[in-house]
Amino acid sequence: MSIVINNLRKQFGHALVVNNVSLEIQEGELFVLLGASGSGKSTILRIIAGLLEPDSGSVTINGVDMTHVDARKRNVGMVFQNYSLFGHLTVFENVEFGLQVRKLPKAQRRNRSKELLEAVGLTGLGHRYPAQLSGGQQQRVAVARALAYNPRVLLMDEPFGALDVKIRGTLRQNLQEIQRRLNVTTILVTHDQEEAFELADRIGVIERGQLIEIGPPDVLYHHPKTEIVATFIGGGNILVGREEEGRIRLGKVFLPMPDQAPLHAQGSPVRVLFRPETVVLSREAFSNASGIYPLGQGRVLKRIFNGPVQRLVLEMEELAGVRPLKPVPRYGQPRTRIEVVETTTGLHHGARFDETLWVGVRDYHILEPSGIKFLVYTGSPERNPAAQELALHLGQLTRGAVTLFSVVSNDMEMSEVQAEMERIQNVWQERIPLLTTEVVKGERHEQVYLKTQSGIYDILVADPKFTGQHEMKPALQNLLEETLLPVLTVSQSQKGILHILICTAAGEPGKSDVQVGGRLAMRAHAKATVFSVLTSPDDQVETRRVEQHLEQARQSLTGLGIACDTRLGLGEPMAEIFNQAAKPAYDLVVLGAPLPQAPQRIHWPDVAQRITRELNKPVLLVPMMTT
Amino acid sequence: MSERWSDFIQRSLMFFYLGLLILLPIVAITVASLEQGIASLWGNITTPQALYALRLTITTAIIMVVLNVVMGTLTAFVLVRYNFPGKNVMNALIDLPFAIPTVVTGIMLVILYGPNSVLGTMFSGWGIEVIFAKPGIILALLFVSYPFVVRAVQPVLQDLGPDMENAARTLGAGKLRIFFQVTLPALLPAILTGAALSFSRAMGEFGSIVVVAGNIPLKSQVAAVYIYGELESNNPQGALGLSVVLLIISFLVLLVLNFLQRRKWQV
Repeated sequence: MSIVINNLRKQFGHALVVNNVSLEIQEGELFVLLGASGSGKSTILRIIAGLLEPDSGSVTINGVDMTHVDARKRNVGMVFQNYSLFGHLTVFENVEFGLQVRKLPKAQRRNRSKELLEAVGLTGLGHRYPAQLSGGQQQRVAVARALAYNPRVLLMDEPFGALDVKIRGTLRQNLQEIQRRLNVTTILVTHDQEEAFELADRIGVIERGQLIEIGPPDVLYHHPKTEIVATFIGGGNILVGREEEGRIRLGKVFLPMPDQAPLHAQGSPVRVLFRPETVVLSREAFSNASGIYPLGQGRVLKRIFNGPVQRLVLEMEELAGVRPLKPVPRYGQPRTRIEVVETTTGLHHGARFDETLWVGVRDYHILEPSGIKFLVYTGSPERNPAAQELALHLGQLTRGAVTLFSVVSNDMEMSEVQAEMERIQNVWQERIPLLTTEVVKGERHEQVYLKTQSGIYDILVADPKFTGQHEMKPALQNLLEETLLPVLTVSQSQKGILHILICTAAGEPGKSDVQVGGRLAMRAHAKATVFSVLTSPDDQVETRRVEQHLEQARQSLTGLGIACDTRLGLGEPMAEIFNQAAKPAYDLVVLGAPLPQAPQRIHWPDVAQRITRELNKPVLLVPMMTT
Repeated sequence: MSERWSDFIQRSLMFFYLGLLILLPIVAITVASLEQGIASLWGNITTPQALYALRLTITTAIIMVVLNVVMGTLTAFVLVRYNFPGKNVMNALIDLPFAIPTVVTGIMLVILYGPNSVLGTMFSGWGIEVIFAKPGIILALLFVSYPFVVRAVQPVLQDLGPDMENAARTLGAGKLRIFFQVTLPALLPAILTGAALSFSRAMGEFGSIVVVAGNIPLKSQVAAVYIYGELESNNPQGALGLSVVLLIISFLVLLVLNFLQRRKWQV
């Protein structure tokens, strides 16, 4: 391993610029850090060069810990964005600077710099001054200067950024050749996806200081894990479907779940990616034997001829109601659109404007389930902020998405709440990149209900008094029944979530309480204890059933990488659960709440209310349909 | 066609203005100084009093320029590279010497270092005379020319940014080498500009020096004050001689500066 960086963190004032970045780069590899400007990629490069010291974390180069070694002792070559050539020195003197520092005799220095200038294609320009060279020539002098003393590592900060698009291509090839020939481990920073694709052995995509994904260009393009990478790299279509009995449902269309697809919970959202060039258009319906997955019919809305290919935008009838993440839907756009690229050979067969065609895909890819998405109903500012605080902490802990949602009744309240939201946004933005806020005017109950039905959110976090009723029980019951979303309630602010108690009953449908609780534990890196209550210990059949249920729960949670154990209580369920929840180890309690509420069974909102009121612990109520 | 005309008018206007404002007075004074012949001019310049005044002006100017270059560059560094409370106030303070009348500068120095002041008695206790002596002249010159080097170096340093030094650091250079082989050469043209402007200014400085150093021939009388004295004592020819010398020195300094700045590596 040539370069190893570990848990790098760097903060400038309040801004967290590098957030826990770890990375291993192989000997001779050309690694590209790809990210938008301000994503923290240059800061990482400067930390590796030794020009900045990290707040925490380490940098190891060729097995030597370099974290606190000064830049001048690291023997690393660096090419700066504007090359930073020494203007008062000739090209020769520039290239020889590092050799002069290392006290090499003059004759040897000159030989070496001639050699390097030849390598970068600048033979004969050694006596010129940088101001007499073109931008591309200056860049090559900077490369030669950085390589003069045979560094083991070459770092390049946007080396093509200041150049004409025309000469970038040639210089890229030039650089790649030199890098391969000298076999020098290279890290290149760029915001240009095309450049990254062309040069990189591997790409690391970085956003807001976090390394999102690492992989070879083709893997990141065809099989990205995250939505960020899928949308940042290349064009494409990402549609949100739902898992339904082992298949993916997109509106009226069903697609098989690929074998290698990441595990999705029952009924959970599935993000399907297909690149424009994998879409197939046809004037006849696809046969089953064609190996193409049909998506129904679409009408050509837009056609852009590009020479070798034509780009099309189609409006899909059968995909109506499917939420697209990309292309980003216009406001008020009723139907789902997809982008298609087809070659223009034999164009008379190609799609025409306004034509309706059969649409299929040759291949598609499933993104990993995203972080937990919290919808927080915040109420008005003077309300108990505990729920909001817990959600923000959980959002940060799980690296999930948090939407703070507020409903107001008039404009005055609107501006007041908006100001408050803005304040929270400013405070938390750094810690939760996917934090959004939304204030709407209207009737509370209705607006919250509508919001939960968008199908985006995994957990609703609410102040239990949000309906305006003083009793929390009916409010919680209504929320669960209407939204069918897991509801997290809390009465007092809570910091860390280290240990989660999951209370489950054998034979509960879908076991979704274990799934939801497990997902939370996995994302929060918390321990989990699965708890069940045996009402009649003499009943052999029930005992076996409950034990089996607990064991299955333990296995599936362990499979998710969660430290997990099981507990079995004896006696009256409500009292047993309360006693177990009262143990100080647990920071959060998950309860399954069967719906509809059967009169003879335990009233779950009662238990939830006792736990939040008397134990001051947050409770996550997971609705479970018992049809 | 009309564009060429406007170009022509623009250029002519500038030449006319430059000629009227700067060239014409110079020609006038040169012609006037030669009215009584070269020998008389030479005689006027080489009187002991005139030679002393000239020597005093040049030595104090050189000492001032050396100090000013060091401190002005340092000031520019501090202003560009560091952030501290009161930076804006300090930045404004630097231009103040340009704004106050130089006579006021002289008065301030006399109040501070005069024979009855605390500092003045302290220095005279150590046997150092400030007022009516060389140190007073140098102090006055330092005060009035402080902005020149700072304001010449500051923008260049700003443009330079830290990356050139960072590049040298990654190449293995230590702090001293970076300063002398990278930063200083890059700043040198700006420093020279500041130095030349300060020097020329010192050649002609009158107001502050006449207050601080008085008009003691062969002791504290600088060239400008000597010229004024000659005029007052109705000897315009004596005044003209030294005036022409000052003019030539200043012009030469600025000419050399211009030449030095036109180097290959300057874009």
